[in-house]
Amino acid sequence: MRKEYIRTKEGSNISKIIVDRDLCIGAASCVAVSAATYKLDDENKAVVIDPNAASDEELITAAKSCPTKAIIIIDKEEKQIYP
Amino acid sequence: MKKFKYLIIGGGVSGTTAAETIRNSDKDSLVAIINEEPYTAYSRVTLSKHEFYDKEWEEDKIWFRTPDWYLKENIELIAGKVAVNLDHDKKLVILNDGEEIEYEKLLLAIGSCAKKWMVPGSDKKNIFVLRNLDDAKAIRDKMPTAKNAIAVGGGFVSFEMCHILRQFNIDTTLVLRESYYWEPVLSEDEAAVVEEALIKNEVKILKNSEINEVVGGEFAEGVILKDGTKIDCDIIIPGIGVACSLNWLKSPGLETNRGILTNEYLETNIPDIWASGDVAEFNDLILEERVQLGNWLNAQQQGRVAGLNMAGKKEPFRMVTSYSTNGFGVTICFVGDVRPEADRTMISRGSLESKSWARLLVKDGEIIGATIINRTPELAAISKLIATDFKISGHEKELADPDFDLKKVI
Repeated sequence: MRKEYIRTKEGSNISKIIVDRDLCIGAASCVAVSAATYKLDDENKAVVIDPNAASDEELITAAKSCPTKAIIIIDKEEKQIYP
Repeated sequence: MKKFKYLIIGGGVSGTTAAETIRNSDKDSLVAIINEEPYTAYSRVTLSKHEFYDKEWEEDKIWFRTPDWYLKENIELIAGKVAVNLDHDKKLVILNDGEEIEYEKLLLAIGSCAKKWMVPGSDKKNIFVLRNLDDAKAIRDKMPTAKNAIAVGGGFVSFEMCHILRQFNIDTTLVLRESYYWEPVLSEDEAAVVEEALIKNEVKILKNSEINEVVGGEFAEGVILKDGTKIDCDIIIPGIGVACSLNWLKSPGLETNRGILTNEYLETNIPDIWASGDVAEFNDLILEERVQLGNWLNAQQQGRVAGLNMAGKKEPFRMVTSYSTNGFGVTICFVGDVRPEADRTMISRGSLESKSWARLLVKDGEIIGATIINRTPELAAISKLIATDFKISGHEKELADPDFDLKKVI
């Protein structure tokens, strides 16, 4: 199951963060990189608590840190930038 | 002879991230990765997750990078070969098939190795030490027919493997040399939360126990403990930690301890050689000591920093890394340095009743690491306390109070 989070941060090139819950193994790398954006829920899966909290760079670093590529980043033109 | 401007030994997440980072700042130079396993980069941490062993699991999910990626990035992958010698005067790496490869800049991202389990009979079949993809596949093939398993050792891989074994309804006995699970990384009370979950899920735990011998013919059929007890089994999974022989690197004069010594830029003592990931024993600017950390995030982020520095930047590695795992409904998370050395004191926040603990390790009045059981929401706050060199003096009571909101002291 994919969960989408719409980002509306001004000046950001990222429009959407998607977490693929079937891929997430709860390693919490994303939480360690961007605690303002992510937390683990009761099922030990990553969820976005605030899609507007971090810079674009931090969001991409957090997505890249995921060992199972469970975080997908979409830009303003609906293009997938990562992975 | 092949020659690369950037040569990376190790095709795991650290080496792969380094290659990617180099390619981002240097579009034209030759980059190669030597990978011992005959594969592209994959998600090693998934190998001890129950998802990998599920029937429904799609094999493709394991790949962190596919062959197209190496082509697209113009990174040569030399897979299935092992670097066995280094001549840093001539800037040569020699492979196990005798091939010599010349480099300008070299990264050692060689990871760590699972410790070999050495008792009489430990060379029999059906004994699986989990380190790489082939090991995991062999375990996965065996699981559906196994009836009785012995897991050895009290680390987190054993914990994860017990969960997987029980998922297959395999009778599981965990043999611990220590007097409780994960001594001395956890206290006995903290360990009780983990032990309770294991017992509730019908894992038998034998404490203060050691295996003297594995019995059977070609295949392991049982073990004999030190006290003479015999336990039947058809699968044994030892998880007794990691250690690597770095002898091939010591001889050319590379400074090593348990790992390869580096400064905060991940430079070794030899010019143009860097080290990153599990093998790097680096100068940690936050913890203010040399540490070697074996977690995915550390490996990945160090790969990035090593790549930047190899491509000409001068960036120190500075990050509090952590790793989290889950089994039987218990979430265990490690942050920073969790080694219970003599110069550290502990602060425990939690209780047996709440089945949750955070164990903070304190050195010179600052928190340097933590083991967090069933309190993952505190991960961010604890990481921040470590990163900001928070002085605990005057806050000891608050830190030990499980109901105190850690965000209040940040």
